[in-house]
Amino acid sequence: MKMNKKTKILLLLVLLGGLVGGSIGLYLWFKPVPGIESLETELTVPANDLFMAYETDENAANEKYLNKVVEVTGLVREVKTNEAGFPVVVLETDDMMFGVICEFESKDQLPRDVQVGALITIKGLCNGKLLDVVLNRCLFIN
Amino acid sequence: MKKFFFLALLGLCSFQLSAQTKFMTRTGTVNFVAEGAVKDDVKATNNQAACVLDGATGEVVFQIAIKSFVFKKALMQEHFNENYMESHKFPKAVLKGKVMDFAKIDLSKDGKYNVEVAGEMEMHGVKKQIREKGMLEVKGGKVILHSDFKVTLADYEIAIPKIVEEKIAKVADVSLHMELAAAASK
Repeated sequence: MKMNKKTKILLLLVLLGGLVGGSIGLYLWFKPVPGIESLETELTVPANDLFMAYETDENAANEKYLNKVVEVTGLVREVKTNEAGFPVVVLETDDMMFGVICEFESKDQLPRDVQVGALITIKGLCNGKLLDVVLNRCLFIN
Repeated sequence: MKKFFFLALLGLCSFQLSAQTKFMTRTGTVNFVAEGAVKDDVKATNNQAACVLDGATGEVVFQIAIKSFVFKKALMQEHFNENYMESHKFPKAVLKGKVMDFAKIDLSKDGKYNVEVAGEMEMHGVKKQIREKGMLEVKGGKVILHSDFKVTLADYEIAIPKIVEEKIAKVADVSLHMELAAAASK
């Protein structure tokens, strides 16, 4: 069967389209979770305000903060390493027991000289409140 | 004799202490694998689980932020949150239960126990009675809880679309590991 020019071009276009679409699909499928540094900060809030917002009205706080990239500033209450080996910082709040807990994105993310009592700013994703307000994939700002 | 009484008193005090203490973690690990027939790395880790165990009654609460599960692939994490778990509507999973036969467990000295936790799990807005087996280990004043169990997605009304049926298992393998340290009771 002989194809005329039009059919040939059309076929070529379909093939090309499939190739481009397929590679975009593959790219999206294999794309890793983006690092926090590539995400824009959406909200800036003191650690205590964030915690108290959750204490007062969890649903309203979720509306505002859940899944948002937040920059939180507060005093360090506790520094530790979790079971998976990532650094974790708990920021001070007016609550005696609980605060804002931040898990860092990589093992070398938290400067060694950050100590209890230091005032620091952390950027991370807000995942809601359990005992503490939980932030993960955190980045040390200053 | 005096010394003996003193020691006995001390022992009693320390027992009282451990019986009244709450044990807590906020950095517990939860892993899940829901690999279907077609292997595609459907697994995620969460290092931010919270757990409180009442040393007197054996009551235990686990809280897990769904958004704290981290996947390798961005798209998978997005689908997990938006389509399956709807974590914007249901940000956490909570298990409230009791360690069965808790009286048999001596928290004042090191030891390992096979335990069962019975209670209610709420996930994706659905509450369900559960009873799962696990291991409780007392080690150096810490209480380590470990359990591997299965979660049937349909039980929690988590629907998997036909198109990805081959890739996602209908029953997920969940494993949790909590290292609880003594905390002053509130």
